[in-house]
Amino acid sequence: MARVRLKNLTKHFGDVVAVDDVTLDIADREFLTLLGPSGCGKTTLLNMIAGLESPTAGEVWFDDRNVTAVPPERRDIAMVFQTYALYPHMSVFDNVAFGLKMRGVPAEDRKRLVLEASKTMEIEHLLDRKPRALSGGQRQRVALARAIVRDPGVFLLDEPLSNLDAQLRVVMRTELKRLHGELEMTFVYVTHDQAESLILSDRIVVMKDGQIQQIGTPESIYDSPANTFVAGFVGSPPINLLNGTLEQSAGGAWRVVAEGYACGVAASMIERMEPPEGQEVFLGVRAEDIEVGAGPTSDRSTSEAPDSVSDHSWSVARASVVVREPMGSDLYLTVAVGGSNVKVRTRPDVRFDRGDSVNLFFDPEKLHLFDGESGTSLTLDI
Amino acid sequence: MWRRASLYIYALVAVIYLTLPFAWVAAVSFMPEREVTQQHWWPEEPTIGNYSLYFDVEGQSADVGAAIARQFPRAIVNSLIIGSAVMLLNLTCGSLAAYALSRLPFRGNLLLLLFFLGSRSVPGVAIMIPMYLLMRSYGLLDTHLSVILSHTTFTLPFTIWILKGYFQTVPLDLERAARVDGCTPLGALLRVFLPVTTPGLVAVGIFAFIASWGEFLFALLFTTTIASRPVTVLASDFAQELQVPFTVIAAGGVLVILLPLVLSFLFQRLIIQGIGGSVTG
Amino acid sequence: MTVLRPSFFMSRTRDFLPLVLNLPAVILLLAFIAYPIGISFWMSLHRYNLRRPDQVYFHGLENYATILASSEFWNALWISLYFTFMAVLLVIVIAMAIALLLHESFRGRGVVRALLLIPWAIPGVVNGLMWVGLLGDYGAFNAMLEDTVAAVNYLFGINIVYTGMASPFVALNAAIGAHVWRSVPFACIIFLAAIQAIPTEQYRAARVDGATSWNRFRFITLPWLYHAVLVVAIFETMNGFRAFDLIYALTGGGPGDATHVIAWQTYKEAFARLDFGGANAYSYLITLITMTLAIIYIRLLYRRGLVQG
Repeated sequence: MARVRLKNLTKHFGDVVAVDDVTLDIADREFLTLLGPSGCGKTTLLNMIAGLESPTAGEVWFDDRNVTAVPPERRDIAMVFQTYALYPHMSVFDNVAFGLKMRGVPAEDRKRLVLEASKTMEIEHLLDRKPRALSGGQRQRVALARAIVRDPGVFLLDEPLSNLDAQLRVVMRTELKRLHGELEMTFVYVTHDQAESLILSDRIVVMKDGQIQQIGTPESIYDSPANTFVAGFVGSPPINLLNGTLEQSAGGAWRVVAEGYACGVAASMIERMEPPEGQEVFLGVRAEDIEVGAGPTSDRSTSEAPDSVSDHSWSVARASVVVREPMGSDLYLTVAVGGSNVKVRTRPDVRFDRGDSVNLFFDPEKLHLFDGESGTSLTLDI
Repeated sequence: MWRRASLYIYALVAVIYLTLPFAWVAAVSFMPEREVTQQHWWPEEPTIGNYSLYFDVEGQSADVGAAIARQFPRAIVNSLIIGSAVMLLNLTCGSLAAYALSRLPFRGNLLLLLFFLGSRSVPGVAIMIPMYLLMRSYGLLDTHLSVILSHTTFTLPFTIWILKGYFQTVPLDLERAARVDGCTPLGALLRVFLPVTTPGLVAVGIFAFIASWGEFLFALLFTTTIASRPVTVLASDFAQELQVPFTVIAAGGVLVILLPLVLSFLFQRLIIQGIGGSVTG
Repeated sequence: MTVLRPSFFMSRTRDFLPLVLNLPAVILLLAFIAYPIGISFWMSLHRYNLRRPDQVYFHGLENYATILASSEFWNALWISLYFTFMAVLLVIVIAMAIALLLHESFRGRGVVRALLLIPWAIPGVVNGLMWVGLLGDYGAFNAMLEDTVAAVNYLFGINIVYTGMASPFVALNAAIGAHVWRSVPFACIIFLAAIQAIPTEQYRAARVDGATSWNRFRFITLPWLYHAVLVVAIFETMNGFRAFDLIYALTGGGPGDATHVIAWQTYKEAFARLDFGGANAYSYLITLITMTLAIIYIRLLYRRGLVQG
């Protein structure tokens, strides 16, 4: 059990700033994920929590203890590595028992604890083998057993699933979630896979260029991304981002307008903006928040312009389907809108195909507006 | 079919090339002197008479070359002492340096590496006179230590180079895992890093031993009596004694080669993988 | 809550530990390589003959001038260059051939690989003695060479007289052959490792692209081996210039001065003529030559090596 606090943690590698002034409070028994693209500093941050990397500035606290200068062997942590890092010269049993042995646990207790942990990880039948005789999934289980056997306060996981194939990854993901439920430990989990982070975490920390972009529950990260980076990184397929200009129609309704489309936005969304008129924005909308309908046919007049649409709906004329990707339960359509492509998720029975002209309807409740320059969210309640 | 056949012919040629010179000498070492002059390839009346000269403890034999041969056992012991010490020094100094070079980024890293590589390119003859004077001034002439020190210095750069390459193939995460599991840096080195790198250490150890066993120039310069003379220097005496029958020399040659040969057979897999992979890696 | 001391090995001592670990090696190499080579240079600027120990004095580059003006030096340099060039060339070709063979899979490959190390395990002096026997009057190779010469004479109707190791030509090339024989295994190990590092997809891709086996060797194997070839070339060039033990045992520099390689010449200068000043000047010239060659190779290595990746 441990609460982990990071205070203004900074790490420089020469001129490169790997982690930039990170302050973070991880609750006891929380499952916290550090999410970001490679090179964003998430692994460096994890290594500093482990003590494998010493910070250039800032402090690491475990409960009421400043552990900044404490070497890893004297912190109450366990760690699972991306490459598993099983000791190739030891049997599975010795691998799991090693940490206990180093901490002076008597042989009998060691045996009991190792058996317990291997039972949890379902590797009892592998204890005599050497790591090289194991499959990827088995190695992963041994690595987890080695970590949980010591009952550490903080459990650090560095991309533990990234070396597994897709099917096994799903199995181990569930396994990890089960473990966190059973064990009373603080989990700090590093990944670049946004799906993993959404599924596993109590809270997610999204990082980029060594800085925290957003901290929040999976729901809040997904539903209310703080900026275009978070919006684009979390969610699959990535959120659709369309740039445009805010303007007020004759009727007083607010719209985002650009070449090829115009979209009405609720007045409540922009009431905090001063002054909204003429502001460059990004309009963000997720694939599942778009409805697709039949577009204007050639004989129909183009009177159905966005102007005539009420505040809370939106359509686009002459949008056309570029790619149709059936995925079994879902159908993805890539639709050309003006100069950009919009990805739409819809039901598989929708018949539109390449070249078809369609209308898109955005769910007004699920729209996101971001500042056109900084990319910061304009709609997020802070 | 043709491809198979030509491959085996190719392999046969390679085997003949690699073994024939030594095989002939080994065969000759079991021949009576007369058979050599008949240019036999296989001893028809095999004898171990040539070898008995080398184990003539009482020193009875008055045959030509017997005086040299008699000293062989002692010289082999000298070579063993020198080679083992060189191996140990190489492993300790070499693994420490290679560990630092491969694992711990520090200022002057490249400079040190260049210094090591540079000292490897200094030919032995270039420093033989100062080394001789150095050893003389410290009173180390005709001691094992003088030979050990000189052999260590010329094998060490290579050892460091190979080990650095080998160590870099060991994932850093292993030591990190050991640290997290409760090892001190030294503990991680001793309990995880060294056991994992044992094959590489064995390879360079054998390499240094065989290099020392075969070295000649410094051994020739520094040693004068059988108190310290290694077996290569003793064997070179045959080059000066023109009367010694070649059958006797051949037996001596086989005796000198025996140990390195056995070692290279036993550890050939480790040597080929350990050395080859690290040199170009 | 216990107070935990910062670890001895952490942050502030970052640069300290690696230097400590390097210290034993550095001390040894400074004491027995760097220091001697400094002394060697200093001595090379002196008149210093052990026959006249009372007449040691500084005379600048005089020793170098004497050497560069002597025909002995140029003869030795020429022989060493020839020796080294031939040795490097032959070692690369033969070692490459054997490495390519060992990369194929066939029954008995393990045996060939085990036998590979035989020449390498044989000390240079013993190698020299062995070849004395092989090329001596009753030697196995001597008989073969005699027969070959006789056959050539017969075929071409010429009359070459074969005099064995008494012939300067035979002696020098025999020394090269013996040297090459012993050097092949090491080079072969390096080549083999490099060949095994070539991804097999490269060959599959080349097959799909329609490359013949020669073209596959020429356009895939060779470029991938560039690095390894240069490494071997560096090693063998150094070894070629410092060949001493073999010459000592095989030819003793003879016949005449036919195998007076530069290392042998230096040894003679020092321990036969006892001219320490001159010998040190010699050693310096050797060092200079090998270093120059090494620098050329290393430049090549970096220029092309990076491209290959």
